[in-house]
Amino acid sequence: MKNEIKTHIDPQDPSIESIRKYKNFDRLNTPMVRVHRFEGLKRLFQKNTRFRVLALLAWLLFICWILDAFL
Amino acid sequence: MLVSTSIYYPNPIQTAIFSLFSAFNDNPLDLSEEEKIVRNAQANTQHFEKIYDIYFEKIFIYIHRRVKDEEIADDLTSQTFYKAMCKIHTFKYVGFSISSWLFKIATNELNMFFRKEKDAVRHVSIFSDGANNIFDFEDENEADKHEKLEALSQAIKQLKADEIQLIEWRFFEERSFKEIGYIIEISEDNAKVRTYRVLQKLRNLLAHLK
Repeated sequence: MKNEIKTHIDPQDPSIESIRKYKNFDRLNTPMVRVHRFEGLKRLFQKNTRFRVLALLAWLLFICWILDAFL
Repeated sequence: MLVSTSIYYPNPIQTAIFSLFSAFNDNPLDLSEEEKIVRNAQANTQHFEKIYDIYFEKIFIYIHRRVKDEEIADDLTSQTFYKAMCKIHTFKYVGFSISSWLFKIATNELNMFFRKEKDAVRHVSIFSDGANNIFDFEDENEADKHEKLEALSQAIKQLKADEIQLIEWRFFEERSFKEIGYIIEISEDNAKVRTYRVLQKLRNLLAHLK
């Protein structure tokens, strides 16, 4: 089902004063706490970090292989 | 508190291109000022409040024009800024002010809202100044003008949602093709082609309505 469409010719926008009553930055800050908690974990899976983690694993494997071969 | 470390510094050429575009924008800040604010917000999301303060009204009006309900506009505006705050570290200057990026997020929020709320009414604001770009009615009297605007609103109702968006952005909000392309993630040329295709469709619909 498609949303109904209503048109308005030269409508008036709400006044800046009436909009300001909705302005409240603190409202955004509350859920942000949750985001921060997972930000570190999320960053681990970001493109650049992912590459770094893979590179580190590759180095570890290489060192293990060297140790295994010579010891 | 964890902060993002990926801060992007535009090079001088990008800065010059940006200032050229921002000259045509209704952006209240110049690049260096805005860049400083954005960089602060990227380093610490607490500084995002400044961006919120500057662009809140613009985003609210943009959303309100499409939903015509202050409560819904308030919710979607908050959602837009919340998402922007979470993703501020990914923002990069590509020739536009951060306001274009906020409009892009707001557009996605609106599309998600209309997809979810099938009963919600999609409102389209038609401005006679912008309608002048669709058909020339400078020499016509008020009655004829009104009749043409009525026909235009009937024709717009027959367009698809994404086609309406293109008409709104280009003709009623006078955004550049480059910015339209940025908002819907297509090239400038593609935005131009799509807009003129919709304009042609709109003109055909208007011809049928006569």
